[in-house]
Amino acid sequence: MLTHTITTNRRFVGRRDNTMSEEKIEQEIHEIQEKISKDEREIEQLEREEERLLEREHGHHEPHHEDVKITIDNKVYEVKPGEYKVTALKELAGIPAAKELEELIKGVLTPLADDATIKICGGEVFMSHARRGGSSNV
Amino acid sequence: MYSAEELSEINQLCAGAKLMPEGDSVYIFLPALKLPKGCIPTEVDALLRLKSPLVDYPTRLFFAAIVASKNKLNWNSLNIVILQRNWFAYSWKNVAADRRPIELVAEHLRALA
Repeated sequence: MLTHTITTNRRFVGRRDNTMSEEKIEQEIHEIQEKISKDEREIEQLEREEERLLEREHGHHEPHHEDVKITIDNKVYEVKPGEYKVTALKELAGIPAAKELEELIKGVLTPLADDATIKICGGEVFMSHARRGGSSNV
Repeated sequence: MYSAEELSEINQLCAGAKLMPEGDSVYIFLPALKLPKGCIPTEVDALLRLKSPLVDYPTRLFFAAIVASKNKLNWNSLNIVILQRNWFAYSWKNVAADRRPIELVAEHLRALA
């Protein structure tokens, strides 16, 4: 009888130890989960802050990103993309109105009328030359 | 006589363009020069004469073949041998050599446009 009681008590104590151990583990898991949640919130906050700073940085440099490069008479100019009158491009490069402006399109020199409108997307190459040549019977 | 920058510029128009002297003359060889729209052929080897003891034209643009275009031109130089090749040229005067080579080519090509 005594033996049975001792055995029963041992089992009870063992179960209680196990229960305590499980409770301790659960407690630890809960603490870790809370720490993870806290860290995640911090990460989210840092990500939002990073996003905000990137937006500010992007906004700060936006005018430069919008500019595109074109070449006129072997000189590079930065302009906003869009439509330009040929006369405006001449003015930009300081080309006299009397000179003809040509655009290099797929390797072909293409004369541009002064009243023509050119769409600038970036990378366009222009060159000017005086209208001097003429046919003869020499 | 011509800067590296000017030769680089003409290479934008015609890749492989190079200065080629012969005797007292100076040329720029323009391989497969693309011709203005409507020309037949659409591209041809060309030779821009920049300097010459001849006084016929200040500069000239020679072609490896006669080019058909919408304009009636006076092809008054036929089978002219330069740099061991035959060349053809139309009469196009008053293009002085005091400009960048690309300007000279553009001015000569204007006859075909």
